[in-house]
Amino acid sequence: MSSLNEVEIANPQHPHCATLLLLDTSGSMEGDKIRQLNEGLNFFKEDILQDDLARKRVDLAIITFGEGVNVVQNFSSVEDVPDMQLTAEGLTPMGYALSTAMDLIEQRKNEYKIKGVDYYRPWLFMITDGEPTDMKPGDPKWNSVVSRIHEGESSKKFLFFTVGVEPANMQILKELSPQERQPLKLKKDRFREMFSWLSKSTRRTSASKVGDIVPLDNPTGPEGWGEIETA
Amino acid sequence: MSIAPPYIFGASVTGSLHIQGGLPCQDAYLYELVSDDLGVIAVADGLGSVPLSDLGSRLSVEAAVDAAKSLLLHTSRDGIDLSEIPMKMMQAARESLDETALREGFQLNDMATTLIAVLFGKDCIYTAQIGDGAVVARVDGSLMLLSGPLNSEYANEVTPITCSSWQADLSSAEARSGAEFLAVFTDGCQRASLLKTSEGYEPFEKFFQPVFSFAAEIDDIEKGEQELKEFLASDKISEYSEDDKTLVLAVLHGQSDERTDSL
Repeated sequence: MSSLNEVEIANPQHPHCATLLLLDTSGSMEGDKIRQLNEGLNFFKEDILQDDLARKRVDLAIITFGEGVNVVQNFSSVEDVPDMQLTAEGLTPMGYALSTAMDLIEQRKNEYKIKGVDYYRPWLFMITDGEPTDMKPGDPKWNSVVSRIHEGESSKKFLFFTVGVEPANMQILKELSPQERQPLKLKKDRFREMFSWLSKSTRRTSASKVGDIVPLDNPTGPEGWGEIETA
Repeated sequence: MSIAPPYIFGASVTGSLHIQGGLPCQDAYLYELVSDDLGVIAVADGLGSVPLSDLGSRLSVEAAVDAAKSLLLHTSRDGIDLSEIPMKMMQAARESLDETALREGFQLNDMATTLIAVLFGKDCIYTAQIGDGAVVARVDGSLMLLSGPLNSEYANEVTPITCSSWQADLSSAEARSGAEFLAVFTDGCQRASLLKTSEGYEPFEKFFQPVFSFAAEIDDIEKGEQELKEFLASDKISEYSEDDKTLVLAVLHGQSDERTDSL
């Protein structure tokens, strides 16, 4: 019998891919938008679960902001995330929501480090149809949130994506976003396409090997779900 | 009847993701026992995201081993500093890629690859490395990580030899004497063989102890390579890495009678 049969594995675990969805559930999302958001979210989950590798690697967290900021799902494997039925009410405490999201990502990365788990650069994916009601450009909270996003992006702490749903204030989202990645505007009724893109991108990232630059499909192509506001 | 050291053998297998995607194995390795006390090993891992990385890794190991051989065979022993050879192997690999890019009209970065170059002699080991993968030795009974991946936070970031600033990330190491075994491998084997601690990577005893025992036991290079290949392709090793995997093993002089007391 060869000695090779006795080999044990140093890290019997997959590298993790943390994805945080930061979702606007303010009153203005009421109706079709919240319905499509829920459908898209559940589709996203199912799509990840179809992928053998992504199912083992993607950690999903969901934070909503509307009637307060709620961590409706802390980071966990997608299998353990229940079906979501989010409801729309309240204002848009986006500043506090963003801080909470960045805290949660830091915390998750620390857990990975302590456990010696390899991980990919986390994604922070925000969807909103409005503008923050708890901060405005130039005030101290705004400055602190924006500089934390920009610093986090440039020092590669996470990847920050923002999607504006009509009638989102795209100018405000542009100021929040890092220069490298401008906000996208969701075309009407394209929630499902957006979540399909997100799932595909997440699956590609979670299957990438060391050294890979992961090519993402262009969401702003003619068949895409988003557009860039050039105004 | 086992083989008298020193000897080298190795294997590469294509990762499951590459098989699924119809991609070739982008790892390459080459070794040569230049004399009865000098050996060279080169191991390269072509980056999955570029189109010609299988060519890049193959050209790199060929150029590296050729450079070492011609230096060792055409220079008198007194006129040569062995410690410089791995760095010269790296240079030769990069030059070969530069030349190929120019000649064929390829983009240099389309051949992006990592490279590890190792030279061992009777009482020395020298290494040079760009990108990930690692070199582990057993010296006087203890495991040593001679050369390993730079500490990058994320699982998918690495500097290849084709990067314009590659020399900034180039590392080298040496071990003096008493080495009994050497393992040189690409990142596809990393999760199985290295523990990640807060101080960095550390060789995993329960991986290397059986692997080195196996290396000492083989009685035929070809059969040894076949068995190593089956091992790398086994479910146990591929469960946590769908990447290509290369492992080259060397059994060295250090494993002599006078050292058995430390085993």
